[in-house]
Amino acid sequence: MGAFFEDSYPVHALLRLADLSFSKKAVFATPTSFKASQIDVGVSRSLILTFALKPTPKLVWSYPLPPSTIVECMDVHTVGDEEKRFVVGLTDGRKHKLVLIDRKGETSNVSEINVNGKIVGVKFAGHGHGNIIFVCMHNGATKLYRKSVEGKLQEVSELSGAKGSKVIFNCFVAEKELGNEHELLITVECHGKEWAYRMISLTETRLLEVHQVLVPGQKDCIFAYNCGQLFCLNISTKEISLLDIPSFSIVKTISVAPLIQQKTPLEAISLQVPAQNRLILGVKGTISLISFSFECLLDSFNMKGDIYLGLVVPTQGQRTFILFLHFNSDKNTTKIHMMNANVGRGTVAECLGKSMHRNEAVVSQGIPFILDEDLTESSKIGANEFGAVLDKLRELRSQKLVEKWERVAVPFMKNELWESITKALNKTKKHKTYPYSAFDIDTDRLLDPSFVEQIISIIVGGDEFVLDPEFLPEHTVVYLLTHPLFPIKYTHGLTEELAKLGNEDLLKQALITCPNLPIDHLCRQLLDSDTGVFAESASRLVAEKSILEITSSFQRVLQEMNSSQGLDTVLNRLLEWDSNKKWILVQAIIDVGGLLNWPASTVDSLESIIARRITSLTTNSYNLTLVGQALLLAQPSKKSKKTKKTAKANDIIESNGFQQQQLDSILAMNDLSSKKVKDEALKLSQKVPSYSVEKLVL
Amino acid sequence: MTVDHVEWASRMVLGGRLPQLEGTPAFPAVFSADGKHQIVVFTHQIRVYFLATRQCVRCIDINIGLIVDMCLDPGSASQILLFSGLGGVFSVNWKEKVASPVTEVFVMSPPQGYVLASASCYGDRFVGVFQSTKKKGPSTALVQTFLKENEGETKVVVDDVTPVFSWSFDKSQVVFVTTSHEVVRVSVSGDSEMSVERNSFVYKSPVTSVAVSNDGVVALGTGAGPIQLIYVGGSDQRLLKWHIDLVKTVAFSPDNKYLLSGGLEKVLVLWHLDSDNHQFLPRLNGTIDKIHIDVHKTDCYSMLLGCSDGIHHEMLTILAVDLVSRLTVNSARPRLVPGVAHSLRRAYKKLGNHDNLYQVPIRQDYSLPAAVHPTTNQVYFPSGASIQIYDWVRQEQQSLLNAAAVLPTGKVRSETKLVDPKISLVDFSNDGSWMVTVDTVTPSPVDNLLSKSDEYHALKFWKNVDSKNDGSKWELACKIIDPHGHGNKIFTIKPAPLLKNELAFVSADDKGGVRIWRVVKNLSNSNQQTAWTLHKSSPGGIASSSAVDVCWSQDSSVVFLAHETSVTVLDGYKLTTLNHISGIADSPIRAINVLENHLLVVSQTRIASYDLIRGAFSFIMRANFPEGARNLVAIDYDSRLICVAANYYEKSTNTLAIKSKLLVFNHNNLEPVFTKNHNQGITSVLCVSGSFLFVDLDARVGMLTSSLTEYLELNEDIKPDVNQIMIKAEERAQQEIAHNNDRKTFDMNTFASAFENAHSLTLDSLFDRVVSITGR
Repeated sequence: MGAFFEDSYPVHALLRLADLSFSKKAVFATPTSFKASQIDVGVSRSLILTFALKPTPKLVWSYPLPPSTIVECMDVHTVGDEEKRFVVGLTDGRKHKLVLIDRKGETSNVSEINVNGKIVGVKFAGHGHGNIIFVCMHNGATKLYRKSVEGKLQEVSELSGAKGSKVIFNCFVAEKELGNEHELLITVECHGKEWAYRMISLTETRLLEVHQVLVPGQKDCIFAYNCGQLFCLNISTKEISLLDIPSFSIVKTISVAPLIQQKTPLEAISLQVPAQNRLILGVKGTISLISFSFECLLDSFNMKGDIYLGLVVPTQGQRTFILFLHFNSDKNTTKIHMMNANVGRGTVAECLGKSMHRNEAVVSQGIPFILDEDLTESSKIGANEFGAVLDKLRELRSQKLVEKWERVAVPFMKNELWESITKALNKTKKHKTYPYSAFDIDTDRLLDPSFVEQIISIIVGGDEFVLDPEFLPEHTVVYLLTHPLFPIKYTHGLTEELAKLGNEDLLKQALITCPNLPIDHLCRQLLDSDTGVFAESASRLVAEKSILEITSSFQRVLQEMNSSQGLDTVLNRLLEWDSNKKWILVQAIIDVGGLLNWPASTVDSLESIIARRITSLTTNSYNLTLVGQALLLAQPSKKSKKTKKTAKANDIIESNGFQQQQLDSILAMNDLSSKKVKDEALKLSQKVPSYSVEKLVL
Repeated sequence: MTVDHVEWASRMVLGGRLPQLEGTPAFPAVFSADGKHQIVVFTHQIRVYFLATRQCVRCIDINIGLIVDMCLDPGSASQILLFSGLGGVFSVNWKEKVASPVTEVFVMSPPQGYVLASASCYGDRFVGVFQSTKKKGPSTALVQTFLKENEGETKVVVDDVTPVFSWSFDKSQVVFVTTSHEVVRVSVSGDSEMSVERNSFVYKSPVTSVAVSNDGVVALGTGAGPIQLIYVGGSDQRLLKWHIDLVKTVAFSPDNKYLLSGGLEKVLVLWHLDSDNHQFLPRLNGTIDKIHIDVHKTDCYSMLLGCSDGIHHEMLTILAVDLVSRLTVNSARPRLVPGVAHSLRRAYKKLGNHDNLYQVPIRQDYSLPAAVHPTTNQVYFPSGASIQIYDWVRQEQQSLLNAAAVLPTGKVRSETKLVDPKISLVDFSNDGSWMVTVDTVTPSPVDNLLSKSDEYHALKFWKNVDSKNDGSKWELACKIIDPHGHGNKIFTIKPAPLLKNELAFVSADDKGGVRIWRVVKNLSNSNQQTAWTLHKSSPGGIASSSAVDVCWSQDSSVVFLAHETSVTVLDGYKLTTLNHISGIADSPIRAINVLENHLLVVSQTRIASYDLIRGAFSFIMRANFPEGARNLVAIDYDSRLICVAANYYEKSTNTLAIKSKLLVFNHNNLEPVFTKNHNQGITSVLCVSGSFLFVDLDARVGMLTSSLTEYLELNEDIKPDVNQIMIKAEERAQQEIAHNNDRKTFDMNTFASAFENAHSLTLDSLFDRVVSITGR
């Protein structure tokens, strides 16, 4: 459940390409799905490679490149595992070439054509059987090439770009992703101070610019596209925006400031979109999986050195894989790594509490009354007051003044005015002691949950519930244990700590009132036989949890404790416990302990309970029959109501006529003979046995 | 998307209910002088219905307090006179559109210690019937004549009267019943003196209604059923026996030949007085509280039918000839809490001297459930065993759906002990094709069972069978008895967000058990009914609490369960516990809702918005919410707005008044977008396609609208579609190509065919040929 990265391993080590930037070192062809068995990589100055991925990555084919060539872009048309067609945009010094490589088994056929500018994107047409190639040039021009029957590349059509424009980003959009029939090329171009978003329709015969939007240019932006979503990461503002297609206006912006350190160069950052609303961001040595819609960090992965995301396979489901380049500066090596990822379903469930914006300092909010005129203002006043109280408490804690602390904490939470508390504090006379007080919703001050959390953290001095015997403001602790806002993080180990402290009153208080106690702790408390809080923990357990939860929790705890010794003791104690609720726990414990695992004494005591029950049931029903008979005798007919009033013996029964009627209705259920049966059908039914076997006679 | 300048406005859309007019013979409707219109007075509105089309043709908002009687102004056909208890007479123009509907105000100042109970108008003269205000002992009635803008003139005092009295059809006599079993007829027709005639009658049982015919015959409806007729002179008396329980109303027909009576049986009885025949009109929609025959439309009988809740009424006008309904008038009928005024007086005794009265929680839960159908926007008011489907735009009741089995006839005598099922929850799937209701039946005390305190719950799934029309017809498709096991009460049921076309509901019970219900469609046999089944369940503990709510996240991946003060996060598919959210509320949580990534938590003492991703509160506000707080919060998921109604006490003379404040919030901001103070307590808030509806204790319905709703709709239209852009670009390109192809080249051979057999052609036809070749 959830989204995560897993299994990262190196696939291939690149030659030392120190002078090339990450994005120039290698390009990856996007496979059709994450289940693809092969991946294709173009490595500048060395090779075009095909790896088989399963069972382990293995090089299966390569094509050498001259040592001065840089691979700009690549696309693959796959016929089968052994038959592929590659189209590669190469730059060799000042020459630019479009190369078509046909691989059949081990042999390869090559045809190439020189072009007059740098190629930034190539793509086989979806229906062209690998014979039609779209090319996006660095100057904004789009070209359509066709492989002729003789195997030569021919330029069929060209759509020139605007003068002086430079393509920053290009992506080929497959059919129907944006709800239209054709393939599209989306480019982001830079014209001096302006940016142009262009959409070009690609067909097998013709290139057609369909849409262009001009916007003011920005600095340092990285784009990524998938599933009809175009994202733009602005490095200077550290924000990712979702752009609407085709209007190219910003739909939503989220901040990724916590993930990008100050002054990170543009080259160290890469962005990919594996699935809708989920982004993978590579910054220096960290890869982060981000949910765009909920603005949260789902998972992150760290490596020493620099990382550049080469390829993230788009997926409709959850599973995908990532190929990235890892540069280890110590060894001066660059390796292609592969990593599996589960990008999740993009649901709230995966994102709960995973915000990338950590609450740096927990600030208590004021709580205004809904009918206040100015809610913000009264919220501020309240927040200041909370702040002042907390400051005072911190001060008292550091001075270990338990008495003064008690004068502040509980009275404040009990709705005493802060002014009167400060006044009382300044007086030097001895403070009177207050009785222990519990939380009362009707009279107490409404608190911000973070205020409660901070008070506890001041008392325990950390994130763990560990009490300092030298500073134990018992009144405050008791009050807080009764407060429903007691934070969940302090409930872990709470009961153990209180038991260790030997303060049974506090432990009882916690077991009775403290909210959100983890079920396992309660079960453990129950199994720890030497505590005197058996009844409290048992009734707490029964009241809040369902029997299924209790049983499975017992199982967990027993496995942890590695013994079933305690179980028998607990069962015996339960049988002694005077409460109706015990049967739920008895059931749970027998379920956990199994049917046959019990000492004879326990079985005997269980048996005796059952025997007692049966006896009392028999007695009860006997008594009931007797009472019924007595009633029948006492009430020969309804008519003699008046005379009955004089008969004293019947008064007790008569006085509670209502109960008697109820009794009648029970008795009548299976005792028809005692009533006058008027209905003929009823009489008949008495004669006929309630079930009979009928035979079909032929 | 944030829009800076959003303007909000509020207005009232429905004008309350039909007034109760207890203890007076007054009827809340009159006919216009030509008999074509019926003018019906609601508590805050006058509505004029055109009888021929049964449509409301005019609506006049009025706010003049409690009205005790009304009549058409005999001097001017376009005015009606409304009488208030303190003696004010308001002349209201019902016909024309005027700046202020109240055109004139007179005063019939009642004598000390009396209030006006009923009045009648004769040209320039009013006759008022006053009743003494003393609470204990027999009351005194006073009949007084007033000239317009003058002090009272002649008067007659009748001592020791019961509250029952009535006018004759021609308003020439008033009849009272005294506690000493006498009928007192006061003749008011004469210009100067009023004559009084007393007749004693044989007491049978308490007199509950009275009528007097034009010729002086008096009919007494009794609590036991028989109707007593007392003829002029008092010597001749007779009994009419059919009713077996309280006769609520009796009335003579204008020709004095018939007596009409009605009561708890929901049957209108017509007694032919000469022949002793009687006729019945059974199975009316409610107990007959009042029968009225108007002077301007003597061939119609109007009736006020009381609904089972005892608060609302339905007005029915039938034709006297064939007893066919001519007009039915219903107000919106939310299930109001009875006895609001009484509970406020009690609260006053306790809290009257409180310093911060507006901070004190309301002692009684006045909120009531209501639901809005997601596509038709009609409001569903559950009440008792039925659901009223009300179209607030047309201000008409669409239909009344009986969601549980009840007696169609009126309950009399011991039958009143039969307990009707009560609908506690109504909701809809998000596409509006399914409705889900939960009702509760308690065994009747009549059966006197040991299990009498057990409750049975039924979860019912209704399919919409009328989606083409107004969508207010439903068919019961599936019924599940005790859906959460015996003894577990369902407190909340919520539809799943419509994803992947999967229909589901999640329900939660008082012990924190949660169940998901899914629809199972049997496609192999189309005749088979769609069945709803239990899909997943998560068990609860044994601690029972009414503070339970459950909700889906908007992508349905998570179900949040609030039980008492804790919130549990459950997986939306498997219902396994994911985790607990701590520190959400310090008091029982009444309602939760997910808006984007925020959890809105409404508890007894606060309303807070919790950011689920950050794990921190966006805002917390102190507020006092009753148990039904869920009804006081509405959410607009599209514009991410929350509308909250906060009721509070305000001091009034000798009692408390409930006021309220409506606030509209963004889900993550403390600063309200809009606030509105309302002069009456609010019982429910609903979201209707971008606007909020609220229902108050007067059964009035108001609306908060923002300019944003229109803006959003506008924006949807402008937004370009990739496909459209493609099509346009294609067209442009095609035109260019076509343009290039247009330049045809001509040479000698092109026209060769035109000159075939040219000698036989005229010049005109030759020209035609050439043109046809060059094209266009």
